Amino acid sequence: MARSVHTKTIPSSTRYLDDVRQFVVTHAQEAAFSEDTVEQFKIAVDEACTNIIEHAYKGQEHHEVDIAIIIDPDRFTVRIRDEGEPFDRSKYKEPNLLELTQKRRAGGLGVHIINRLMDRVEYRTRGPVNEIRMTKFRTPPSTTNGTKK
Amino acid sequence: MSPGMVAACMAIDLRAKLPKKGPFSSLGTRTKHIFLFVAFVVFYVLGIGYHLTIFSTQTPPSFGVALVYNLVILACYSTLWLLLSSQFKQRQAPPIRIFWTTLLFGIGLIGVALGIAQIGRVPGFDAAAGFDYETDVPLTLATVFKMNFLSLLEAAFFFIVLLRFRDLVLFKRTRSSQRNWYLMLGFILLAALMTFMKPPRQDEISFLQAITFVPAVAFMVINSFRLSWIVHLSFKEKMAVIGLSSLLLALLATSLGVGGDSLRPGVSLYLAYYSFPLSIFMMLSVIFGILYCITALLSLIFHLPTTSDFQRKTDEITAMHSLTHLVNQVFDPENLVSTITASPVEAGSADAAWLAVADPETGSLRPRIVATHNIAPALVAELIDTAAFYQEVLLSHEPLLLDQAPADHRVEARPGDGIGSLLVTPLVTRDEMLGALFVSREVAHSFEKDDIEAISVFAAQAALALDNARLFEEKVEKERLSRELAIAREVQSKLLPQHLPSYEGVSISASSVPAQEVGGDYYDFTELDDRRLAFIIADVSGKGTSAAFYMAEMQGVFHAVSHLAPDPLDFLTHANRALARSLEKNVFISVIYGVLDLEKEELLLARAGHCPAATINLNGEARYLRSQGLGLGLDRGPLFRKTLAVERIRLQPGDVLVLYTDGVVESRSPKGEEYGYDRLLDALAEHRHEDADDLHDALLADLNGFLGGTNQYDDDLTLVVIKWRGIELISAPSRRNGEQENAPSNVHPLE
Amino acid sequence: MSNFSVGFRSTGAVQVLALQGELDAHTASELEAAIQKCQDEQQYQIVINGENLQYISSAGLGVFMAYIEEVREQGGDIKIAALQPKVFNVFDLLGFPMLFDITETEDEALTKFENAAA
Repeated sequence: MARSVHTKTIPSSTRYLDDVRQFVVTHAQEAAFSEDTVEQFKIAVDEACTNIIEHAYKGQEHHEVDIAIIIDPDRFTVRIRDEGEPFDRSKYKEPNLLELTQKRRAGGLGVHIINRLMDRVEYRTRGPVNEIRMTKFRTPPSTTNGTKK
Repeated sequence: MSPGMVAACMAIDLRAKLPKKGPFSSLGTRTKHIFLFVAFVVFYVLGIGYHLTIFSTQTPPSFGVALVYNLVILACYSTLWLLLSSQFKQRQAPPIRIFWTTLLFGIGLIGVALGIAQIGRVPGFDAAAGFDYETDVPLTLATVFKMNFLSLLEAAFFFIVLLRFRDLVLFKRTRSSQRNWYLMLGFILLAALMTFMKPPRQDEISFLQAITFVPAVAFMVINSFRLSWIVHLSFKEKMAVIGLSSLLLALLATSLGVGGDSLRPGVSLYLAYYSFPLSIFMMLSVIFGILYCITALLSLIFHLPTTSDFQRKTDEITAMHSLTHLVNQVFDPENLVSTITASPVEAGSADAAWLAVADPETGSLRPRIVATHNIAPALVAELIDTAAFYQEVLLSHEPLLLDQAPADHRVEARPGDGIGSLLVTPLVTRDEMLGALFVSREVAHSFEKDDIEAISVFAAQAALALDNARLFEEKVEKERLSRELAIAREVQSKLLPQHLPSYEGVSISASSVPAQEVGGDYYDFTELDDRRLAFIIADVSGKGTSAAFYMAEMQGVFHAVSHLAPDPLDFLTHANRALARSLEKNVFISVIYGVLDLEKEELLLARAGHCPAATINLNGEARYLRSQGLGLGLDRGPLFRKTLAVERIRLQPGDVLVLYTDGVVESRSPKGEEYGYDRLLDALAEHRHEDADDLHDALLADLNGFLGGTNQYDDDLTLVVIKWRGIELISAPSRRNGEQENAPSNVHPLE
Repeated sequence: MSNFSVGFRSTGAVQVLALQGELDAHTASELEAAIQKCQDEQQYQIVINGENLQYISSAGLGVFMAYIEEVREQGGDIKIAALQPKVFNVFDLLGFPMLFDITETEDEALTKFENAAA
């Protein structure tokens, strides 16, 4: 019932997204989350890492991204840290799909997804290290859908 | 505990800015510094200890301990501020010095800081620059020391920046500029303290905190425009400061970008973990430093082109002012006016100058040009209608400026004659215009407001100097005059007899009061032998020093000739001939000369135009002796002797003879009435029984009473009383003018 | 290494792209290339068959969004068919059904194209 932490570090390249997804899926399944929830973790982590690679590191591949999965009795948290440009939350607005198609832009969708899928999302910066924490709480077995919000 | 201590710390800070009162001032400065230094070291070491403790236990501190630590840190850096502040208070450095010393400090400190920061870096995602990501606990010993050391360096540098810039901002100290400076510091401090006890994990600035930034920034901007030190720099100095301030700006801007994070740009993370409030204070200080450097740079660049003009103007005005002092030292009028005209030209404010002064004889209608400089008087007379300008300025008492002098009809000069612009300034003192200073320049429109003001100031000084010179001259003249008069007065006092003669059977009393310093009256006695006394009374028509000299001559004649020719007719004839030569036309001397023969008991007397002597006997029969005779000096021929009569009078005991000058009978009462001859006889009759002295005084008293007791005489007043006693009545001893006393107890037989 | 591939099939006037594997930021470029190819060949009627699509992230969605305007301007469309439920959820999450024509089967999509042409 105690906390368990699993970490993984990847280079800052999209070719490793698959590995990250696998990593998260494995531990989420181990933690006995429902399939839907596992899928949600999968995509949330994917989006987060993609953003980091593309925006924090501006596509440069010689950096690192640190992923940690923290499993508590009541929650599952994915913590991702990078040393790139901090995410400027003030610049984030919820995307309007229509606007985006017209402007042919696809950015911002990732954050939207993460916010919709996860129970709690926190951003922190300490010194050179940026951190995003995505948390989902364990639901009692009575509720069918894992998705909140 | 906490609010009180916070207040105490703030109070210490504030007290450092306000004039020192209270317990600190009682100690010497040295002691104060030592005390502060020791306090600083103690607090600092406590801080290190705190961090070491946290490091060794690897657990975050409790609230109470953290609180104490934060207060200790505040106290520590307050003392550091006080120490540095007093260091820099002592030296008021010139701007160049401020910039390059600060720059050097900065490069040194930041260089060291950067170097040290590289040592013992903790990599990895679990450590944010050496601190645990979650708990902010330092992860290595190196981190602890780096944190403490770098924070000190940073704080010291930014304190120094603030303090040095304070000298620049307060270059021109006024109440408001000082107040603005302290307000800025106060608000920065306030903004910093808003983060007190907030951990550096704060990712957002609360609204309240943001509010406190606003006044701080506002005052930073206000203080950034205090740039009055710039105008005083020479061109070279300005260039130097441009370079230095650019470098300093670069340094500060770099420190803003390097290190830190979005929340606290410019201050290293170590400082933020060390003390959040301190880091905010530093951040705002950097921003101020940058703001000030920017405004200074811009201002310097924009001031460059006008530097030489400003310098030249300042030099000119200084030269004029220094010359005003010179003007005041010159007392000699000739020297003075040439200095007055030379000064504006030599100071560079004018090409030529001349001074016109009102001619004392004709008044202010025709001014005279008393001095010119760099232009010939003849040329001035030819080209300029000085009188017309003088008139205009006399009416207005204001300077008159002609930007294009040749265009004025009062200026005959053509363009090219050397008179382009003309400025006429009146020399006014005590509302009176003493003269006018004309200054000209070759080029038209050449006098600016500054020039007019400088020359006006100079003209005021010149007016004072001229006035002083004049007053000085007058004083010298007055002194000379009064010295002359004093001499004459002394001479005259020697003319009148010092002692009255004492003869048995005769009592005499006499006095003479001149109307002015020197009078024209004279009386004298001389003993011809032991039985004959000659006397004289004389009055010169006229007053002053010449009258006194005639009296001196008269005295000489009297004492010499009376012994040789005692007979009145002979004496006066001789006297007339002797004096006629030296007397000016229209000056004559009226004289009564007589001889008292005690053996024969008779009086011989002649009157040469003088007021008739009054005589009275014991019975009260009084009359004037109006024998005829011309005054001395009126006729230099034989007519004088022909017309002179001599009276021979037998003397009876108690007879009184009164000699006087016209001042007695012609004095007027306040009502305008003359004393007159009758009143004199009446008074004489009333007091005829008295002795000469008493009688004399009584007559004067009567006169004074008539005059209203003012004792102000228009004319010289001389009164001589001679009493023939014959039979001596036993009476009390009476006063004498001279030293000789009569012997009242002698009784003489009746004749 | 994510495995992803795009299969080309054409049915009459319609181009069918069968996606297989996981579509993420890394593999999105392949999809983009495929659709671009259709553009180049002036094939504006595209059906995406997601039967074997195991995963999609916003990168993939972004590709669709990038081309939809243009394709529709040319009179065509990108219809998406046979999505797996878990994949459909992602589409649904972002409100894609409003913007895209999502059908249960490929045939449905093809029929819609036919009807539109008629």
